[in-house]
Amino acid sequence: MRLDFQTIRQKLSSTFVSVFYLAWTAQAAAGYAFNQVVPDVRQPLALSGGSACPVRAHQLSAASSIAVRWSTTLGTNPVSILTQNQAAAARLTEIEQVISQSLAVWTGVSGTTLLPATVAPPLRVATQNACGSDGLNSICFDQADMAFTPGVLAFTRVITSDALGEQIGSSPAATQLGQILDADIYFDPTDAQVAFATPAALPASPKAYDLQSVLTHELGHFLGFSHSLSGAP
Amino acid sequence: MSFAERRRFLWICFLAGLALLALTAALTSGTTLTRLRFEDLAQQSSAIARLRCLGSEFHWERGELWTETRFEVLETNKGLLAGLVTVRTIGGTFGHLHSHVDGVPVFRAGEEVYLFLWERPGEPYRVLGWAQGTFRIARNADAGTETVTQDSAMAPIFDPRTRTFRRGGIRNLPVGIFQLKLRKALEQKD
Repeated sequence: MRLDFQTIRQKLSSTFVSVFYLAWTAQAAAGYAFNQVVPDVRQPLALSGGSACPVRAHQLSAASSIAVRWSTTLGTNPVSILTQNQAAAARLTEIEQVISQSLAVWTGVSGTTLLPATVAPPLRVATQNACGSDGLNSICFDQADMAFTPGVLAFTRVITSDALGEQIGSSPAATQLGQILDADIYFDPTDAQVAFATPAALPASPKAYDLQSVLTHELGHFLGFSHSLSGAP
Repeated sequence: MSFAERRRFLWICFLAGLALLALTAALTSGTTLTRLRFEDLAQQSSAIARLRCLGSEFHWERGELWTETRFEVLETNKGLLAGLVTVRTIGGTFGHLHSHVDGVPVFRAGEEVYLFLWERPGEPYRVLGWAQGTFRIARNADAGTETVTQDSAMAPIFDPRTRTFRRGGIRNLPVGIFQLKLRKALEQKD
């Protein structure tokens, strides 16, 4: 019995370690931002570096940072973003704090190259339809999109390039394969059954969705993590 | 090793497994979806049908890249559908650019699916709840059987209220039983 149990324990341990390792490496391979890419050796030496060996991706120089802007246009019918303070200026401040805190979750991960300095402070824009394939990374709380259906609360659309030199809108030209050229986060503003609440407003609105939790999740996609493994476009 | 130690060890294995699942889920899940029960899908959909994918086209519209997938209607379970139906999903490929949204179903020519479709007047069909409204049909050539698996059964859905991921949905259900379940869900509506 003792021997049997030891055998089982060893098998369980080795299985667990194997599964954990495979899962971990699979995830690492799935995300490309702040990960590794293989340079395209068909490109000139100056671009490819002359080697097909994997290199660290998105090693941002000190001068560059990821710009994030958010549309201050908020839905009124229905009210999709609930805040504790109802004054117009205070609402924006409260939402912006949520955005900053959600970004800080990602830049605060120990050991990552995604440092606080690599993400610029969120910038406000008054444009309602600020999200789109324009090369500007945006967060929109009041942009009706043809993709929403019941059951979809928020999503992040990421545009990448599989060739060097590609650009979209005002994005810089891609210098790495798989580089993100545009990432936008859409919150559903049209469903009267769906409301998001800031952490301060959540206790008074228990049926609302936690804005910070959803935003943190979506910002992970925004930064390039968790791309589909299914061969999706 | 005593019984208590054995029990503790098994508990550690169990908890470690759960932690691994949670980690994997957190890293692989996509768009923020809220759970729709099968009955919700049946009731909220505009049409439900078994379809065969014929092919996809991509185009830009309103500043976004969209995929329009054409399907041949094999069986209609709800709504009125013509022989061919077009379903629009966000994302796609245009030249060297790839627009991607996690959770959006992608279809391959020739594959058969049950889709719960949703539409606004004057617009093409969308898939209700994206991964939740997509049920792919697998055919076992040896056994001559067909089974249905919901896309969301393969990818956990994030619940923003509890801040957890939950995996759930129909997996490997024989087509006959799926049809019975669907009929029952549609009857509940009436």
